[in-house]
Amino acid sequence: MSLTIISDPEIQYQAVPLCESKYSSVNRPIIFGIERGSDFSFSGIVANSSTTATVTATGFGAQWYDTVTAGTDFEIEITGSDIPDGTYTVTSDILIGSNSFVIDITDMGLFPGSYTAGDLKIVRLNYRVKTKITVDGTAVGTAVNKLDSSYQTTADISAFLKSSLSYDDDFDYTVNNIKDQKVSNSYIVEFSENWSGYEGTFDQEGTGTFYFTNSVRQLGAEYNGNMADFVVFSETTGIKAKFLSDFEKPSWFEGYPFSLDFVFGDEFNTGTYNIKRHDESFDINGTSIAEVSNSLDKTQDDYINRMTIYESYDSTAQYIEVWLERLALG
Amino acid sequence: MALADEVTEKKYVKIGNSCVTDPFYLQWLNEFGGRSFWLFGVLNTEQAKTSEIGYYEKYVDDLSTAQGNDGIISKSKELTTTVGASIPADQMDGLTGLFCSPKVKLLVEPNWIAEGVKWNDVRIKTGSLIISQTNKEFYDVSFEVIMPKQYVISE
Repeated sequence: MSLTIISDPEIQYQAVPLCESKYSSVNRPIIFGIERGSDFSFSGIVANSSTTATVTATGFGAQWYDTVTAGTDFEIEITGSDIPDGTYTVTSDILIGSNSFVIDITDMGLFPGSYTAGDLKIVRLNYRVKTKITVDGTAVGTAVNKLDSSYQTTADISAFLKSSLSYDDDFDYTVNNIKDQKVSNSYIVEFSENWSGYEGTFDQEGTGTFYFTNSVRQLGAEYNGNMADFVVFSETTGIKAKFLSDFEKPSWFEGYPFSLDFVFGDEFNTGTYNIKRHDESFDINGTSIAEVSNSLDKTQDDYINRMTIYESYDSTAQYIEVWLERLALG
Repeated sequence: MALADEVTEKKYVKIGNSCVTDPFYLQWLNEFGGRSFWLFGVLNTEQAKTSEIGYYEKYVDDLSTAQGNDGIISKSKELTTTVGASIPADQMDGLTGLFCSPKVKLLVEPNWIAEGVKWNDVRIKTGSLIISQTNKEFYDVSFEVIMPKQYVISE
């Protein structure tokens, strides 16, 4: 396949140590940029006359003899050579052992002689890229995109991801934390080349697993639609993830279910660290009363987590501070 | 513990007043993908609004025996409850999220610790929000909540 993924939703949140956020808000475009590259690089081109030229492309026949109609004219697009960029008709048979072929250069104004090598693409009728989206092992849809004149396109897959969201609250509020795959989930994307009479096979093209959350970012958001500032990493230095609360100071009402949610990032190194929740209670004067900590279940990583708080605070407590810490194993 | 081990912000959580007459506890999906909560009190009990669905006229072939010459297929019934609370000024930021969220739930099992937590989807009636600032530190907030649709018999 000649596709290259030129952009994806992941952003680099911290350079050293490297921390990358693959978490996107599903209510914003989630875009993959795709480029069709060269089908083949040829090593030389020799104009035989003013009407024909021989293109040397070692191995071309072995790769293309059964995917182009041998003996029938087909077109290729040449770029990067010092013959004019453009579309040329192939006039020779492509046999399995062909290492060269002939093109029609009539009216191109070329003199007999050698010209530099370049790239070629076979002109495909109705060429399109398909992007298949799979959420947590279930295919949810396929985007179909045509390329622009620079052989690039973008696929916005956010609408496909939304179909896998729901808002049922199944949390029983009895455990410290649990992942919520109703408001967050993982997905992979696979790409294929297709044209009239041909449906390609899907390939991830080197992309990995990405994640989405049922959230929205506003105008001016530093990371566009990425949720980087909410993702809990284990290796960020000086940067602290935010909790998923729209209150600067939320309230917990004793006797009522409450959760403080966070994005348990996939890059949190659970092989090196445990993760703990700390609750520190304060009285009306701001004096610390007590601090407790509880280990969280780190097998719930990769997704938005619902997290309860300690709740058994002293009766004089007026407010608490809650935060998460990593704790080195051993 | 070393500061370097903190991986999140320190979130300030107030301990709210749970002593509310006729409690009405709401949860909503906030813009960041998390859940937010607030305890309101019921100000007005449920008000029912009904409307007809599908009025039609019947063909009458015997006026002396016919029991009627029109009917309706069904009726719809909408219940709303007015709730409110005094909100500290420094928490109004989060409460606006309630009115922007399309996903709001009401706690319907008061004995949830023993019986398990149960929620019903509700809707905040558009245009019903009233905010008044009684003093510098608090806002009185009230609004109508549309309860889950009531099922009725139909033809």
